[in-house]
Amino acid sequence: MADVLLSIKGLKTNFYTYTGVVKALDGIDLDIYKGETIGLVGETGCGKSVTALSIIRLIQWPPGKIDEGSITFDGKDLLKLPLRDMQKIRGNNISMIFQEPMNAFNPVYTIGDQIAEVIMLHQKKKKKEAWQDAIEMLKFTGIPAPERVAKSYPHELSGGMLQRSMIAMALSCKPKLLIADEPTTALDVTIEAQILDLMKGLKTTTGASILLITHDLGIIAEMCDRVGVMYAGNIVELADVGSIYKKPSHPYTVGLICAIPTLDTKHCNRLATIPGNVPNLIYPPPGCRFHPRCNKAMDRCSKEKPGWYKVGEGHYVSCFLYEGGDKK
Amino acid sequence: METIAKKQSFINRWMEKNDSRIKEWRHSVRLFFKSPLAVIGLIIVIGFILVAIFAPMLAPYPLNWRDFALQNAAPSDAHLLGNEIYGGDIFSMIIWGSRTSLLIGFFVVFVCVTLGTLVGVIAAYYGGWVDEALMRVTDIFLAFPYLVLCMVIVAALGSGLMNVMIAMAIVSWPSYARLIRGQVLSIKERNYIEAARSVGASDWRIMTRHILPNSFSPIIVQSTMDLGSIMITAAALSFIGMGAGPGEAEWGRMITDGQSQLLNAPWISTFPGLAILIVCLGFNLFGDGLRDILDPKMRR
Amino acid sequence: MKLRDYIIRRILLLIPVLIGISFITFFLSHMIGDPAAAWLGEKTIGQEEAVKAIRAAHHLDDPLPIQYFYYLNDLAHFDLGRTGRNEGGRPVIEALKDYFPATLELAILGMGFAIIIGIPLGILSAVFKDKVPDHIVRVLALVGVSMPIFWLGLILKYWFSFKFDIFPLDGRLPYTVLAPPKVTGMYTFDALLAGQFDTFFVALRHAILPSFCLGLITLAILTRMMRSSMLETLTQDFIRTARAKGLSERKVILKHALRNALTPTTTVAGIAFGGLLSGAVMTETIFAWPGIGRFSVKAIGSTDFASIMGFALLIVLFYVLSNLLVDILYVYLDPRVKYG
Repeated sequence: MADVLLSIKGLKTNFYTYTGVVKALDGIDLDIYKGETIGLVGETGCGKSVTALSIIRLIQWPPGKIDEGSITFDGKDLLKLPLRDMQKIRGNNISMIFQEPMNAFNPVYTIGDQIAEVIMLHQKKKKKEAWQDAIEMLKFTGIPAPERVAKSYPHELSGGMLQRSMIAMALSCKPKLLIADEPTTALDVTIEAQILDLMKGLKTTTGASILLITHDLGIIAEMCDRVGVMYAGNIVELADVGSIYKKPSHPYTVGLICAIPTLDTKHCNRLATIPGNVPNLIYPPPGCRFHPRCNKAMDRCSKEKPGWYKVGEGHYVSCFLYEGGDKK
Repeated sequence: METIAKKQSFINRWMEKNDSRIKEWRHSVRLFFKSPLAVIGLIIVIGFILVAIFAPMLAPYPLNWRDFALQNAAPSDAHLLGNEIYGGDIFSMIIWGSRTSLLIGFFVVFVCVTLGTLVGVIAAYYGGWVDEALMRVTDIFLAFPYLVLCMVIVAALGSGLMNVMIAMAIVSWPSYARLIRGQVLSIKERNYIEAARSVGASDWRIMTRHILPNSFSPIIVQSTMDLGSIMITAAALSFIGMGAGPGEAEWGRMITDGQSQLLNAPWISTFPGLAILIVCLGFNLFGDGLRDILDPKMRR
Repeated sequence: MKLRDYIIRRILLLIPVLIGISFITFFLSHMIGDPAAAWLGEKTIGQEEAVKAIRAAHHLDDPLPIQYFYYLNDLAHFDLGRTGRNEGGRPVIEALKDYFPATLELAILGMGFAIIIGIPLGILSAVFKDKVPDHIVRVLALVGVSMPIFWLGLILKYWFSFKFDIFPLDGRLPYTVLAPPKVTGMYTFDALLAGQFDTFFVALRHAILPSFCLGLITLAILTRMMRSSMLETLTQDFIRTARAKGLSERKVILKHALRNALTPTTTVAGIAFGGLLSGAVMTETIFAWPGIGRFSVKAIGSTDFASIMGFALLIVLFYVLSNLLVDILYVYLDPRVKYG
């Protein structure tokens, strides 16, 4: 495999709320390679977005706090960087696209202003030059009449147009990593396809790695090289996209894939729903957090947290069922 | 025995039915007591009301007591906060004055809530031209700055505390009417009102059983916060010579009376003003605390 | 829609409100008080002829709707009646013209205090939410809202003028200093316009206590408003975007959050301005400031009805106009607001 771009080790992020400490991330390990598109998939509240926000350190304190772990990027641990240096990385080396393009732009400034701002900030360019670059970027993302869009206020544009502009803004400083947090959830299905196509195309031209966060396995299948399945603050399975559909291993992944009626369901006994509810992360189940809902749970599942076990080339599972396999 | 058991079962049933409400209420109370400022406000408010009720027992000197030999006298052991320009004991007068403030505050709020509820509910419930006409009337009232309209009305009615109260009630009700109208409009659209109507509940029943109880909390918050400013405005009207007469035990009037002696007997104006400030602050702190727990939007 | 059309429409919408206001002032002045008696003061007894003459001259014996029509006609010609004995019976409008600049000066300076101190305090409070600066600012703002300003005026005067002698006791200028040439009627501004900086500083020193006193409640209201709208804005998605772009926290707050948080604060400031003018009633009395507030208190003392109504009408007009101004300003502050 290619070089590692960003490496997350043992990341724990907690939210200190009035009712208790929400243990949102329970020791995440993840490597992102140069030039790949890696997906994170899971239910709402499983910690996908928290992972993304932790990477660029946008977890708001209070109530959220990154308590443990390291995120190595370019030989530096992002979590130990002074804020000023982190700000030089944000929007420049690592940039982010958010879920709701309608709310992600500041309503009182024009699109062009907001894109030019990031260019002026990181590339030390003059306003006029930055404005030109902003229009170039808008054109680059396939926006017709980029001059007009640049002069528009966010409320004057459609959701799809805004998300294109968002992508333009995120890519304007040629980042090495683009984090896309459910970039199409708020959009119409037809627009969704366009945006995904756009992202695919841009990846080949810019060579940036993409961390794509979604709850939609279809999008994963279409876009990603590798995928991590998240459950209740843990990554439970990590594999190439091909192997995850061919050989889903973790009981949760199996349940997730079987819950989609349109996909090939040869691993499934029935069109399944996963019994039970997403656990309360203030009092997470001990051991493997999935064991109360798991139909293959054993005694030790409620006592120990499973390690990583290899079930195939580049395919790892965090489940005692596969303990026989190689350790990662 | 049987009746007690019946009662018990009735209470149990009521508790079960209102379980979520009780829980929420308990949660709110706990939240309220978590905020030290709100608790201070509550203590001030309760203290103020107690002082007003027990004034005859607490005040060292009777109402209208005067010793002309002690005009403008400085604070002393016999007269803790000194004496005012007619020789009255300032400490006693402040205690007696709390009754006036409390009376004004509660009278005005009571009239406003009653009148405002009536107008607001009628406007919201019947809508159409009734609503339009009533709201235009409130518009006109709200186009005046509060104090100025009070002044003009008192000027027309003639000075005196009763007229001050009437004027303030006339000026304050429109904002209550609008608040209640807004509440009723938003509640009216909810499903359970639709449900009540579909089973044939009368307008009156829907209004009293469903709509009003649900619009209470903003009214309570609003009136708590208003009590403080009503007392200040009443004192202000007394200060410019429209409310209580010279030498009366009314906080605003006491400040005015002390104004001419400010440089040689500053205590005359200082202490009644401090009383207004503390009581008003108390109501505001209390109201702020209430809003934090009653307004779900403000809840963290 | 063009901005001009919008303004015209807003002004047209004011007409029913203005008619309503005139109705209230008419009602109060013609149905409750007897204007003829008010004009003659206590001298009515034994002057039945004079009363009759005045009643006839001012159509007071006509039916009410016709009286109202005359009243509106007078208003349209800026005829607000005549002042009482205090002002020697000159037209109310003239007295108002003389006194209003002094009040406006106080109000502008008071608003200046409120904005310059209140908005930064509100931002500070929001940025340090639930930390020490926030607690201090919140308590101070609540104290400000609860402050009886007529009392505060006396206290400030006692300590800062009498005890420490930092500011003059009262008035606009000492007798030894000539007023600057009249342009606006506001001494501080006129002194600046005329380049008389000595006079400017003297006038400013006189204005500081009364205008601070006048602006205090607005200051507290603006602080609270700014805090809450800033907090609301800081939870918005676009703030996260701004941070994700790598902007410094300073820029995120002062450029991205502030612009948005200012919009609701502006509305409140506009509404507060009307209240500020009415607060002048008390501040001017305390500091012997010759503005319309003090004029109105004197009028109350001598039951000079026409003057009181004139004062009220002027303030209401200002109140309504400042609200209109805010609505127009809104369009510039928030591009999402469409005219209409």
